[in-house]
Amino acid sequence: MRKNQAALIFFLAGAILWVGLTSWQSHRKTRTLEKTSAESVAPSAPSAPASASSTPINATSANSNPTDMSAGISGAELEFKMPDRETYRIQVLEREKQEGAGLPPVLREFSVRMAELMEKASQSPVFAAALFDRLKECSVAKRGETIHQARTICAVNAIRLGEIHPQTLGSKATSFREALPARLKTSVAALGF
Amino acid sequence: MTKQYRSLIALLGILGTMASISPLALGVTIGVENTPPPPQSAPAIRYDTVRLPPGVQALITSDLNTLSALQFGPKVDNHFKLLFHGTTAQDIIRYLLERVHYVGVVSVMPDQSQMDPTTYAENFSPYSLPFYFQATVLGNRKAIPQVVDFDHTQVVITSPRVGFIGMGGAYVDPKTTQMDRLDTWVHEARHSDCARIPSFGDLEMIDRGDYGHVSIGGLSCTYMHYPCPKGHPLAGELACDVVPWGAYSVGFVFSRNVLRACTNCTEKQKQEALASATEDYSRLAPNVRAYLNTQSPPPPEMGSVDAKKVHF
Repeated sequence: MRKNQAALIFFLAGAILWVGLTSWQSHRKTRTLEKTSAESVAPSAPSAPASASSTPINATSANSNPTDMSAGISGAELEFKMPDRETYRIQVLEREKQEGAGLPPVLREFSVRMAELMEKASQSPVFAAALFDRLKECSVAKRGETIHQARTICAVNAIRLGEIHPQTLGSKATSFREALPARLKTSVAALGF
Repeated sequence: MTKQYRSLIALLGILGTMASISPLALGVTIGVENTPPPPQSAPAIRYDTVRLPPGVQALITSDLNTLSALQFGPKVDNHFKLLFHGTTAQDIIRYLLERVHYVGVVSVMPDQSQMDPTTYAENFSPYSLPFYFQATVLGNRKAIPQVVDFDHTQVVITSPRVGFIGMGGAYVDPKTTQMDRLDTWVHEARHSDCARIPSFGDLEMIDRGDYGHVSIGGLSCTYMHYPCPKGHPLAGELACDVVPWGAYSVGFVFSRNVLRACTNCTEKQKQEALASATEDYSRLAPNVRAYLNTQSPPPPEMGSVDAKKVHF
């Protein structure tokens, strides 16, 4: 009886040890894979691993085709509403009636969304690549669609992404800045970019 | 308790006391209320404790504490150095304290009993110019200056450097961003500057309220705004700057440096600063924008970047 009890205890201890070791090894394997994938995308971004793993993209596709890094990121994640020209005009006139007026709400809301997106992009080169393309589109939005301030914000943030992720977006951002329309280029340069 | 522990606790106590008595933590003090402080007077702000709701003073103190904690790195630009005479947040604080002495209210009520809910903030300095014209230039002994109820006394606006900022309810709108409020402080403080006395003709026009025809030199006293041009969303409104280093330029330089050179700002703060900077930039005339695209100051005839001088 005592022998049986000892065997049972020995068996249970072994089983616990086995389960523990297996799960530790599996966890370690996943972490290594994530690290390798993120490092290969952005070797200069130490904070990249955790975020890269949270974006729906596998390591192979990111490695094999760096220009298609945005694959797997949904449109909703990158969505932002461009400030409408007419709404801005009405709000800025209303604000002007207030002494020392601050930002019109439509521009303030735009900056709030930009902060969310840029925070996410600073953590993930994959997300940054997708956002970069979206910002490029926004910076050349038609005059009737939005305001110059919004286009400037988009252009500046696209260039900043190139500074945050120089390995993956540096040269793209430089080319983008060089190709900006003259008026936008001047506004961006005035902001120090 | 060992000797070392006691020394450590004593040291922490001293540090704590030093931190708690910093001017920003206290939030102010200066002497005589209805006598304008001399230029470059004691660096302190006095709040109207009678009319200002308690939340407003607390918010301003919190905003200024946030400002003083900002750290600027090597990307600080030349315009920042020229305007704030340094490269740190403390230099901006000094700039503010030299120009803002009283924080009161803007009210629609005759007894100023309530803050105007639609107003954000207003520097009363430009009100000193018609009085200067009437009293000093024309020698009119019956000229009456702008008098504002403040605390249990009054403040008389006889010089731009009186530095009276009236606050409105819109400042405390919870949707207003902190960087927008800080940009506003830097902006409003600039209206306390007077680079030169306006000419007789300019003073006449200012006295009549005809700001649209005042020369650039005349506008540089209190850095008054100018009607926005045709095609601008604010066409015809006194909401643009044609003088370099005016209030919108200073706000722009501040926000640009928060975006570009602040090393401990959050992304949220940087985006708020970016939005404020683009809005400030939209209020600048092309000649002013051209100066902000270089790192050089504009020629002296275009105004003075260092406008500490007050001539009256």
